[in-house]
This record gives sequence, C-alpha cells and structure tokens, in this order.
Amino acid sequence: MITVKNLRKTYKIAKPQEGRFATLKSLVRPRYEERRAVDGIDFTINDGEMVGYIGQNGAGKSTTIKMLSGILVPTAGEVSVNGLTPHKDRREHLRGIGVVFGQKTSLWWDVPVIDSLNILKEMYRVDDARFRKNLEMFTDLLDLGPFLEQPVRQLSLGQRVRADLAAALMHDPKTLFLDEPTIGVDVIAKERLREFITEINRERGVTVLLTTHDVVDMEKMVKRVIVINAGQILYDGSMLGLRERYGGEDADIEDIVREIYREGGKTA
Amino acid sequence: MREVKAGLKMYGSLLKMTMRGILQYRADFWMSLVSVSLLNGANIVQLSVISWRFHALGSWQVGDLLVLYGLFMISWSIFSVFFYRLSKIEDEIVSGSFDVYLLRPVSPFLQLVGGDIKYTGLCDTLLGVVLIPTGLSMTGTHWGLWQIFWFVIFVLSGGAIAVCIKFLISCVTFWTTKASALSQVFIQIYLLTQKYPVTIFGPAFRVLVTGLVPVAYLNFYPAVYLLGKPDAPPWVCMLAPVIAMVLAGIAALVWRRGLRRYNSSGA
Repeated sequence: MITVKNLRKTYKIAKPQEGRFATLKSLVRPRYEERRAVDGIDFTINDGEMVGYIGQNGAGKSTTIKMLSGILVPTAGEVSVNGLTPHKDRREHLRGIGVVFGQKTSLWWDVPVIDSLNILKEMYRVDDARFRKNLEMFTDLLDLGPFLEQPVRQLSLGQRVRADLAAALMHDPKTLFLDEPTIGVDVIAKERLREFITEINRERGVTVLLTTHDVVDMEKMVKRVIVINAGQILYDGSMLGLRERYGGEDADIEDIVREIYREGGKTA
Repeated sequence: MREVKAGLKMYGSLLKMTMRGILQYRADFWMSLVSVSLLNGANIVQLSVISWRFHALGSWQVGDLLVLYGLFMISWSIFSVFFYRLSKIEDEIVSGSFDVYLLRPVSPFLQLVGGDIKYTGLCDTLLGVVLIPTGLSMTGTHWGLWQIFWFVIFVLSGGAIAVCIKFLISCVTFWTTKASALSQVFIQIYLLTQKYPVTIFGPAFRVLVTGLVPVAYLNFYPAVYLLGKPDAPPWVCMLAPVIAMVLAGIAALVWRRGLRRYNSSGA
C-alpha cells in the first residue's frame, strides 16, 4: 500500500539579480526563489491497484515518483510505501519496489544485458531458482532472447525499455513505479509493453503507479487516474468518472485531458 | 564484520562489471596504456633533467626531493586508481545518473567507487616505486624494518587523505551543483607540495597544508620522518594516520548530509 499525506517538495532556485553589480551580488548574497514542485498532495493506492499518474511537463509527476522511490527527501509531509518510509528505510524499501525511468536506463551501458541482470541478482540477493524462473518468464514475455547477450548501448529504445522492465522485476517487487515507460517507443512495442505491464499487475498482483502522456496507455491499462497540475492534485478517481465529469461518455479522452490541463492552467 | 565482507564482495563484482565495460573498447584500452606509458617516460626524463639541474633546497638534497616526489606519487595513485570516481560526483549529478545509485539496495558510495578503475594511474605508482630507491641511494640513506613499516603507514594514510580531500571537494556539489573552482585551488596547492618541501614557503602556507588541507601529509611529513630531516618534530609526522581517520570521519558526515540535500535533476 502507498500512502501519501500532505506531501511537499520545494526546490530552491537561485534568482537572477538586477541592477549594478548583479553578478557580484548573486555571488555574495544569493537570493533564492522557491519553486513548489509538489505542493501538498494526498492519495492512497491499495495493493494490486494499477494507477495512471498524469499531468503536463513539470507538473510534479517525476518529483512524486522520486520521493516514492526514495531518491528525493520530501520537504514536508508523509510518504509510506509498503509500510516503510522510502528515504529512511532505504535498503529495505528498495528491495520491495521496482523503478523504471523511460528516459534513463538503470542498466550498465557497456556490458551485455544478462551481466546487468546477474549483478542485480547479487545486489537484491535473489536466489538461483527464483532468478532462473523469472529470467525464463521475462525472456518469454518480453522476448529478451535476441539481445540478452548484447551491450545495452547497442539496443533499440524499445529493447532497452524491455530490458529495464525485466531488470526492475527480477527481485519480485510488490510495487512498481514506471515513469513514462512508453515514451518514444513505436506502436507495436508499446502494445507489447502494455500487455506485459497489465499481466504483471493482474497475475502477480504487483501494485503499479505509472506516469504517461499517452492517452492510449490510460485507456487500455488503468481504471484509476490521478491528475496533477502545478504540484496539486486536480482529479483522483476512475477513468469513467473522469469522462463523466469532463465531457460525457463518448468524449475523446485526449480532448478531456486537454480540457483539464487548460483549466488547471487557469487556476494555477 | 559480515557487512564489511559483503561490501568487499559487492565491490569486487562491481569492479568486474566495470572492467568488462572498459574491455569492450579494446582499442581505447591499449591506446590509453601506450599513451600513459609514453607520458610517464617523459616524466622520468623530466625528472632526470630536474635532478641534474636542480640544486639542493636548504637541507634537502636532490635525492631527498626524489623521495618527496615519489611518496606523493604513490599515495596519490591510491586515489587515482581506485577512487577516481569520487571526484566526479558533479558529472553524475548534472547528468542525472546519480539517481540510479539511490535505486539499488547497495551503498551509493560503493556503487560510485566500484563504477570506475583508472588502471592508467598505476603508472604513477610505478614512478614512485622507481623514484624512492633512486633517491635513497643518491643520499645514501638506508631504511630498516621500522622505516619500511612507517613507509607503508604513511602511504596508506596519505592515500586516504588524498581520497578524502578530493571526495570532500566533490561533495560540495550537493550544495552548489558545481565545484570546479574549489577543485582548481586545490590543484594549485598540491602542485607546490608535490615537488617542494613545505618549509621553503613560510609559516602561513605550512599551516594551510598541515591543518586546513593536509596535503603535506601525503609526502612532506612522511619524507621528513623517513629521511630524518630537521624540518618538523617526529610526533607531528606520526600524526598522519590520525589525520586520515579524522578526515574520513568528516567526509562520511558530509556525504551523508549531502545525500539528504540531493535534488536530482531533469524530468
């Protein structure tokens, strides 16, 4: 279970100064501007749920994911994932989650995929039998076979994301955070990723929180969405409810999302 | 104890991955080795020129100066071979690759250190190993077991001090995201202490490199002790391991605070 209460993250950004000696001033006494990336959000995600987390660029999605996975320490508020506080019980927490950033790989760039999986096995202390079983299953479902022996830098984006997904799941995490897993991936590869993620959620009961800009991802994969804008939650509920609230049953989901973002832009 | 063992094992596995990555680029591997060997050859030629043109500095004979330089090279190479990555935290933070270390249930420090090995730094070690006996034979100094014992202590402490200073400077990035200015100042300082006995610079500098940025413990104090120079009392020289431990403590503290300050980057 994931619980987030009044969660905030503020970044301090050095403010450019004006007038004479501006550069000198900013060196001697820098002035900072606060930017609230995440500005007091609350939500609860139950075990086995799959939730879409959407919002414009810079809305605070990645910052939230980074706090949930323990990379960032929150400025204020509470986070709890599987009963643990990510930035405090770091190692134990990390054993229970898997994280994939679509834009970045967490694999070793210059060595074959299988070597990365092997060292992750050691890091997460996965026993041989479980490792073999998972490797077999993911090789089959994600069709890793053709490129297991290739260095990551030679993989296509679609292959790389598949390898990253497998790597994030080798230790059987209870919770999976996916930050734009389908970004830049072609239609067919996207379809395969969606099927895989859905299956992992359904068959293994893995809780999934995923961010995406792809409306098809939302329609095909999730029943519940959380919409964030300027660090605050605009909507948290079912996809169906989202439709009803913003345009009716037959409304195009892309229009709805555009509508929400525009509205959010006004209030923010 | 068990944790230390597990840590070392993990470090070994990480190094193996790193080496495998390096060997993917075989041509580059060999070219670096060749070019560094050439560079070191040039260094030795330069030093023979120095020792031929150089005159004694106060009570320091040319042979003493070679020992001074050699000690620096060996201690420094501990940093440059095994811990080089620690001075590159800035790059990791700016590129966002630091995030990945925080996603795996292994100490980020270990992942950082295990992520690189600069085999080319071994040439520095070699240079030191050649220079020290040469210098000793030039001055006719003989080391007994006691001196050899302290030589080892000094090299290990000096290595630790070099690592800690570089690491601490690098940790400043957690607060400023850039640390290159500080790094430059430090380079200017150690370029002086590397070749010259600290005593020729006057008391202010001596305080700086003893207490504030203790680079003098990489080679000056060890050389004073091992060569029996009058430049400093023996007990001050023998503080080397203590200073290394204090610095390591400070570095661990700053690192921990830095991790809490870490702000990631990008999307």
